[in-house]
Amino acid sequence: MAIRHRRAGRRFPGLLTNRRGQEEAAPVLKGDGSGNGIQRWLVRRVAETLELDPGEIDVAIPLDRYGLDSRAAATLAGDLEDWLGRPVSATLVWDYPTIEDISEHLKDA
Amino acid sequence: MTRNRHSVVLVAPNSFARFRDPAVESQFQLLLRDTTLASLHNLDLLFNSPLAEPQLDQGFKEANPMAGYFLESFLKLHGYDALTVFDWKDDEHLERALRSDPIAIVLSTTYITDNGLLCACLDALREVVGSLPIIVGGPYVWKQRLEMSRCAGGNADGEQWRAFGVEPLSDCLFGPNSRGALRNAIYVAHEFGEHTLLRVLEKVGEGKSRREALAEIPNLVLPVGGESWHPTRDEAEPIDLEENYTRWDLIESMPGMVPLRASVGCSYRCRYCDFVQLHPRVLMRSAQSIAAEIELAKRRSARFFGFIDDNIFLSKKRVKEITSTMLTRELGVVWGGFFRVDRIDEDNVEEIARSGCAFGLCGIESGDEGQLDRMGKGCTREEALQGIELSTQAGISLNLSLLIGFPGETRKSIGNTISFLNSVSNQHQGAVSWLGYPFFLLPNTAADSLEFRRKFGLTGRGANWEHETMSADEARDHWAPYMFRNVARIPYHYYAGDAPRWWPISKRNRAFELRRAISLAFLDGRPDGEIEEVFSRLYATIADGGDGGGAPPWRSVLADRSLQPGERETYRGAFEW
Repeated sequence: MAIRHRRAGRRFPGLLTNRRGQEEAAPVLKGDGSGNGIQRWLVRRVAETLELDPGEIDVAIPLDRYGLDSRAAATLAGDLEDWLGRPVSATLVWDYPTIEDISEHLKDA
Repeated sequence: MTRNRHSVVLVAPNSFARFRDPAVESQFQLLLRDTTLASLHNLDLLFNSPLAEPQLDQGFKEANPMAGYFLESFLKLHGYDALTVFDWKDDEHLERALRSDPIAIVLSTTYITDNGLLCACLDALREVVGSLPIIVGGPYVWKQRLEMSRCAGGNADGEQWRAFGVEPLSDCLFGPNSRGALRNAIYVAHEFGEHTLLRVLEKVGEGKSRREALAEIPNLVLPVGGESWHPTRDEAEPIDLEENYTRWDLIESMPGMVPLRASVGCSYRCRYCDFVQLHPRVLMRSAQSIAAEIELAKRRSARFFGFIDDNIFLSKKRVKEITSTMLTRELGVVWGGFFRVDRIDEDNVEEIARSGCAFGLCGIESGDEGQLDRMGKGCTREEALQGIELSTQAGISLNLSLLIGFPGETRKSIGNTISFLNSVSNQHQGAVSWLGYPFFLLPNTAADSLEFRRKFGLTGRGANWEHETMSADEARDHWAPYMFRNVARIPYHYYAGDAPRWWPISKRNRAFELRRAISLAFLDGRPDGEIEEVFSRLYATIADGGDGGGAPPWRSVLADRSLQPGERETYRGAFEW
């Protein structure tokens, strides 16, 4: 039922080459609260949740566009809280819809 | 004493799509090609997702009932292996569960509303499970038991009821008309019933599932012969809401939204509702007990909770107790559920939102003071409007449900409801939607009493009623579409998760307006070209860069006309059987 076929080619090339999660290949230390650490953790966790390849996750695209519904978004925030070891708002993904936004918001806060 | 651990399969359906589609409320909702709802979130996914086949969202349309989880943990605590089947669109899940070699099937009736639907479920189950005992419990069975008691010994005063078009027991599960699969089950008929279920399972585990062996167990209704029913003696069950809640640590598979129960029963006395009769005693859980359950579920990564009763909003004091406990214990969850807007004020709304409340399902019922009074709603139009305004300002999204055709309803009262809905602000972060249900006359409600019937000339029952100013057919076929055509300010409900929350409010409202225009075009049987034109404007509003054109044809995104408003078959309130 995908209907983006006519535009996909022109929309994504720039994003795909620069921002894809798979380029962040280094192992993530648990609780690494830097912007990059959070970003890597989120890419992996979102890919796991949605059964996608991490390389399919573009950190600049709102997470709900990958099919992450509001319930899964709240769970993601909870898991992130556990991983970081500090409070994270359960509505985090509503307020900061992309991985880029979230990691920027949370980095070393 | 030790015994082998028996297995039990629980069937708690989250959808009856295989038996009954569409649902009563869906007659104005657009459907996508795969018949998923055309929520704005789903349209955004189709137009903008980087994935070729994004998983579309069902919203809360197929939320799993709490009964399945509660019973799963309850049975495990009592020594059984319990597997729960929620997704029942086909038999695959059930067949997998049956590999556990269960001693019985337990069917929850949380979402069952008539004998036809129950019969269809039992027929379908029987085909797969063969001769295994099927034990049926839950609210539908309890309602039927109450109706059976009411009619026992001539208490129903048949002649008086017949004068209002009601034949006592004619549509009751435990009446003479129930046949076939309905008579091949064991019914647990109690307000709660889980302890009675244990006693039945003990017998069944010993290989004793015949009526004679079960007749000594209280709180059952058993078929006798071809058309009689035998209710066993009534007996109270031990109830402790404080301790006896779902043990989420024992649940096999956690739901996306964790259902919570803050109370049993209701202190309000709305005349269309049978809760007062189903649960004469109101039992409240403490805020500490609720928080303990949330913490237990959080250990399983749950962060999204839905209250299935609205007594969390019983009083402002009760709201305060619960929300301040959530904040003090730093639960950090998102929650929502049934919601009373008349309990919201400037002093508590901020704390409610801060505690994680994100959505509310509000039974507004009418925007007409006279109707609210006749319903016994206990809330005024102004209180409702103020509560909606404060809640949505605070970022809480609300669904407002309305009853169409309650006795006393007229063109004027419907006009007042329309003006009420059109005066709700759509300029806040919290989105508002509305949903109109034709009145359904439930047995055992104040509206079903002879006194009320006499007052309003109310005849019939269920989805087939008539009173001095309206009939069920008129409510469904004329007034429901009339309301849809005239409520322009806020969108029709699409089961939560409608517009992405990060969208600007202006984009959200524009998309709502265009989607409604497409529904109206279908309702009016407008030509394809006209639908194409509105659809392309909707595409331009939602799709990134969509203003440059390139909208796909509507038929490549939306379901065929036969499944859209106007042509889709309208659910007429009762399942044929």
